[in-house]
Amino acid sequence: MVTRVVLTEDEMPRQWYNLAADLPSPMQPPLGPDGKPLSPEMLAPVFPMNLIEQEVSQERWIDIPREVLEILFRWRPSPLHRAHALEKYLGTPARIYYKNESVSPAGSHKPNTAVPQAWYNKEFGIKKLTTETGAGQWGSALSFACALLGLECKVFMVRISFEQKPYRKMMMQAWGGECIPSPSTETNAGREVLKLHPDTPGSLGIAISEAVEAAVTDTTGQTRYALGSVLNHVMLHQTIIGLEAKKQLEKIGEKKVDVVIGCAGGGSNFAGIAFPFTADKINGAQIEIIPVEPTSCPTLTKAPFIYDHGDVAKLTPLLPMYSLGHSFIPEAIHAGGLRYHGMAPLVSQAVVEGLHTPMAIPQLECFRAAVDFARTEGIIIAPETSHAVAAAIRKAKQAKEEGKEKVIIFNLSGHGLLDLNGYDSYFQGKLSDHELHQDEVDAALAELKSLPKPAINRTGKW
Amino acid sequence: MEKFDREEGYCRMLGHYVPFNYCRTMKDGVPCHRILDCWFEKLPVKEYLQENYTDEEIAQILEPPRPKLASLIDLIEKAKNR
Repeated sequence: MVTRVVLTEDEMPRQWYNLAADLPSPMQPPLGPDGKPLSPEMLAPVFPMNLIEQEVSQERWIDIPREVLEILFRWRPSPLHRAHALEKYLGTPARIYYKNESVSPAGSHKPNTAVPQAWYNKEFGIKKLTTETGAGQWGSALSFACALLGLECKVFMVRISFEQKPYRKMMMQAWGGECIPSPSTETNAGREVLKLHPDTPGSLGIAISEAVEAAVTDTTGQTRYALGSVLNHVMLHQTIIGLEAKKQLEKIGEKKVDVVIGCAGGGSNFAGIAFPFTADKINGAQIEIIPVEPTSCPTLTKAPFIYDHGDVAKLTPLLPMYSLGHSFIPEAIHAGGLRYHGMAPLVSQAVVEGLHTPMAIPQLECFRAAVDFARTEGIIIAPETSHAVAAAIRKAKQAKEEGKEKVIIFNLSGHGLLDLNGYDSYFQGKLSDHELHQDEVDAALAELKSLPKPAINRTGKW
Repeated sequence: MEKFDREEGYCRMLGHYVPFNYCRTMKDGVPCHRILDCWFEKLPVKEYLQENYTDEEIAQILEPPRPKLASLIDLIEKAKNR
């Protein structure tokens, strides 16, 4: 009975997969405040041109540089697990597999893009990367990548996190990242805040401003900014997850996959597992591909596809996305990474096409699933990952009711060992569910009537 | 509401627990945009906002963050102008 499917280094994929090349309907371009499409050059002050080229690329396959592969080999290929214990617990005829991204040095899928981003910056002549972080998941992943590639890394960590959440700060320091509390005296943005509020605990908004300013104002031109989610090139780098998984399923003798599941936050971990299987679906395979979101913030399951601003002040560019509107305020949940009110454009377009079929799950069901998973498979997962586990359990139970031997795979995007307070709240009964009612959705959308409507590019095949 | 300042709640943006005082003052001395979202089940936050801020100010306070991609262009321009 095989429990853990591993690939050798030789078997690891040598190219990333770009879904943009195969989407049957074209992506809608992001628009500026003037209604005209944004140009890639507008991002040049913060990203190197080789990454911007990836951002807009229509090439199906993009080679993974040899130096990047050599670093990824340190924890990749990541194992594919067969969840025998969970299957037995559920009494399901389904075969459940999970791709374990918690085995990376930083404990999540984040290094899959941190490493190539650092490498492409280095190739472009960049010496230093800046970023922002809260508790430090992305900051630690980028520090790790920069350490291995010989780049400087400066992480603006929100001051209250810097003082109260020392573990990932220590991880960053161990990897040589310069982790400084934000606001700092190193940027005008930070100094302006400190002048007015010297005792401020900081915020992510200030930290982002500092990280961008540090990159933009470096007169040597050798500093850039790095982002760990949302953008197309981030999702491209994450496709290594699904590409490996396909090989592993083939290796174990699975000829057909029925269900592919990932939690849908900024899109990158879902894209990582889903996009390679989406290619198969485009080419005729019968696969149900499910981005999972919380019922309290159901952008994919209840929201329409529109052009939306990212802010109430309507200062930011219009983006085509599934959205409940820029003033929508979702109720409390603990899976912080899932709370964007809009979805990454590539995922949005795949949903429009019917290639992805989103599902919303309440947080209590997610935490129950996380606890069941810990007590069967043994891994304590991140709150975000619990959405994928809950969806896998739903589909496994459905297979049991239907008496079908379905093959289900989900992405275990990270461990939850530094996020145990969420579990504590669950055990103490402090969490509750909130499902958005249609009248709330309608109210949030009423103000969007005046915005331009993107053309619904859909072939109708799915 | 100061009497609740030591109450702790999970900040989903930062990824760890913070005292209520942080949520009440983190945005240049005014509340975080998610204060209602995070605390309405435990504390009378809505009443606190209505007692201390005008409707217009409450609307500004509760304004959600911009998606990172969309905000980058704006942040670049601001950084250049500083």
